[in-house]
Amino acid sequence: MKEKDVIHDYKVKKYIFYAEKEDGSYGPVEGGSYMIENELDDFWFKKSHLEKTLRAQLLKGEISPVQYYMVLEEMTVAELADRSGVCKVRVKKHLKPEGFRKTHVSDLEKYAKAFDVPVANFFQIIETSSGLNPNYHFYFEDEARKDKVRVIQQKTENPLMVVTKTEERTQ
Amino acid sequence: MNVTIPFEHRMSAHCETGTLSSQLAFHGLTIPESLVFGIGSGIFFGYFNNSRFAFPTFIVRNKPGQIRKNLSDRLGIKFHAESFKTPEKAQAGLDKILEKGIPVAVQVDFFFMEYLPQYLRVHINVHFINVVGKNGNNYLISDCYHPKIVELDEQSLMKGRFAGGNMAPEGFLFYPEFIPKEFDWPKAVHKGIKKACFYMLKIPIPFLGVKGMRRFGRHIVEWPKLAINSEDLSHQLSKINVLLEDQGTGGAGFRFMYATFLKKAAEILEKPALNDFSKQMMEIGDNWRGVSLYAARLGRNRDFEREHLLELGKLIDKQADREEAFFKALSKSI
Repeated sequence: MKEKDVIHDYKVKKYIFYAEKEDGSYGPVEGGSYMIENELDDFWFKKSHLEKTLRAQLLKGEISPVQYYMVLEEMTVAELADRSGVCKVRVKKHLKPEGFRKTHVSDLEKYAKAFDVPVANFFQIIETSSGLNPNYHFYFEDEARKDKVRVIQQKTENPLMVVTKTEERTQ
Repeated sequence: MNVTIPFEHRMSAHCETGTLSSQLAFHGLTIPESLVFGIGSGIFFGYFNNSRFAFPTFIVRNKPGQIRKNLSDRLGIKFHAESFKTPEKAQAGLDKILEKGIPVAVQVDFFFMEYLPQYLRVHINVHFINVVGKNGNNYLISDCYHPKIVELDEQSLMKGRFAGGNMAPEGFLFYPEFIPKEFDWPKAVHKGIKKACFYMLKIPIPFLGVKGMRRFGRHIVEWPKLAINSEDLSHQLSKINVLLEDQGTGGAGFRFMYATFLKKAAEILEKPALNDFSKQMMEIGDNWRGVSLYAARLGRNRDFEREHLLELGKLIDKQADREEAFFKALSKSI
């Protein structure tokens, strides 16, 4: 790659590429990535569409909350079992809505830790006026900025409890 | 606890080599990232299609941590490397080293690195960062993917260090303990290149090295059957571009970085012939960029026609031919 082929007028994020410089030497050059600069909108479109489809299925009772978070966070059953410490056979059971009804609270705690969400969010979807799930606000930050308030979920000393409150958005 | 270590933050193309290079620079050994990558025999290829992964995927570098081990073997640098059983012990271990004024490299899951942009935050346990101090309850992080030193709270760092799953970090940390005064550079570079040729050509596993590339080229036509829907397939095709270009490879799946290394190797080994190899590697890298751009376009346009996927497979297969010829010649000339 020649130095002139590197995207110099990047807007989103700076990367380091290795390229041939004008004097013929090779070395690191600052630049932007093709995907991040051009295709990020498509990436978010796909991600938000996936979230909406999964949410609709979840609310109809077709999938379990464990599957909802597992697909969104791009994990496999083996990966989730490894990260949460719940055995693979049980994870498979909990992916189905009827299996999820029999989950122990201790298992839910383990899943919550692996997905980094409060235990309470296995039983509720919090929506804001723009229709977003605050759990995934960090995914859709630009869209979330349109909301006047933001939802904050504060962890407490009790691992099963979470305090959910709204706050005026300052920025 | 308040500790700030005067650490020179540098951005680099890849996390592991960048972290190693800045750590060594702190201890007085200036060694560019590309040389770390070359001596550590970082260049590689592997295509994985098993239940461990939600969808077939590929890698373009060797196993995380291997570059450090190779560098240590070949240059005689001794690293203090440690894993922990519980997050509490891991935190105490980290604090103890920081108090001595030594920057520490830790392995983390991307997902919990809150300062990174959202699209980078995925569950992969292969990220390396330098911890260069502590300010109250926040750690000072020098991440070579981020332009400056940032603060990250204790809990997020510990979650990242104990994420579990594939290649679980288990609180892994390391820092250089002993750096020799003199090095046998030619021997190290020679060994680095020899091992890279072995990894690419002779490793007797059908999905690693050049054989992995061929398998990837053959198998990509089957991808539509494995995807849940068209958007998923589009996402996976775009990921080819991301894995080759954006995930800290320096472009074209480390091929440009390796070309830079070969140019340096020509000087160190006093073999001008390696300059030609460097140029050839640059061309191979350009062709990889062609592959990634083609894949990104298919993904963007939701174009999943069999012919176009076959074409993509052919492009990858050609790369396998090129790299096979390249590494065979390199192995003979060295």
